[in-house]
Amino acid sequence: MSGLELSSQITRNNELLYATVGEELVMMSTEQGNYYGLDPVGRRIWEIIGEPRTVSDICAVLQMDYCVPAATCEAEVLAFVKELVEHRVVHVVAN
Amino acid sequence: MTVWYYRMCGLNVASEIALAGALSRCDAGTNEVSIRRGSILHALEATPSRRQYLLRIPDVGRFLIKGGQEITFDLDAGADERDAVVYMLGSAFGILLHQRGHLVLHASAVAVGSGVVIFCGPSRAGKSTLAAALVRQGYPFITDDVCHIGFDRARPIVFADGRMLKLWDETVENLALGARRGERVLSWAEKFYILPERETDESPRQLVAIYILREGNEAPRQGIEQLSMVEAAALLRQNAYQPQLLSMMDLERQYFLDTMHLVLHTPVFYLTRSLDFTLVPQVVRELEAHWRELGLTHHARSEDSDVRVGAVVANHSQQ
Repeated sequence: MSGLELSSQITRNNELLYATVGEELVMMSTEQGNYYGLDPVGRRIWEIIGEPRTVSDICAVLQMDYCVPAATCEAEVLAFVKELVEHRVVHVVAN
Repeated sequence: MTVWYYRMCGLNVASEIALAGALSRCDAGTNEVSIRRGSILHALEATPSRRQYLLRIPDVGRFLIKGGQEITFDLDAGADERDAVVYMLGSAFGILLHQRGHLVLHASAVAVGSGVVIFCGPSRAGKSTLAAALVRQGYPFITDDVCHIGFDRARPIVFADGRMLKLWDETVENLALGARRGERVLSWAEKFYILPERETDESPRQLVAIYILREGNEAPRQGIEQLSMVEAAALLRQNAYQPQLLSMMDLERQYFLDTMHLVLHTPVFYLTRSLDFTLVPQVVRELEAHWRELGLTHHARSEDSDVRVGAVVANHSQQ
């Protein structure tokens, strides 16, 4: 998944079960039996990608929510989304 | 035909077989569950579901569990009825509770103050021993195997399973419970019912703490350690009563949401200790100190924040 770019469009893996608990989001993959927890920023990203969105789109929304420089936001979101893709929490629908 | 009436796991049960080890009764005609003798066709194949489940126990018999309301049993020739009852109230009743969509853990439990604490772990993890040691200290016994958790206005509550504590002979000796040793549980095993010291209190009580039992040599340090919500949810899934039933019965979603309610309202801890009998009193003292610390009050967990920004904070695999 090294091909993940700002223009990559991603969406949720709809096979996952998820629930918000306080500020966090807890997810379970029934297929693999794995559990995942997302902190408030991760949870916000999960909300944004209810419909397919590009990494740039996600960053644009996060920059409105949080005071963070664009370059930092993009680097961190790319790394985070890459991790989500590796865990099959999200899918890349188009590059 | 004689019918016996019992109260088990929060349900009123009418049974055509006397259920050894049962502690409490319900009124005739109020039953929500029926246990009946019947013939089950050998050719019957039932895909496990919430509608029906066919449980086969070699050399004992077959149990057809239907709609969370009915268990029909058909014993093999020469099978010991006592053995059948154990499978009826363990596996078959656990399946029935799943069919009803209840949250069922493989756990023991005792009452502490006005609440209940539970101990989860696989067979031989020391669930019954710990419950027995606490019962010996005067804590009322709730269950040692099938733990039915319900919700009362979102607050988790625990139902007593309505059976006597069951202990291996070795444990009876080590905990000096010989005077209360009752009948043998299974025809072929050195496991015995322990006669209760007091009348059981059937009213469901609020769940105040969950402990996941671990053996000391599996972890770097012994003691009590609180789990994050993700770890807690994953471990509660692992400690479901026969967790493979959840996907078979299409209950994954319901169970997931119920466990999330549970971890939101109830703190979950690892209890790591040696399985050495001589150290049981020390574990009991440690638990009692922990209960004083907790004040046995309701713990909301929304303040937990052991998470990293923008990262998958835990990836907890099930074994």
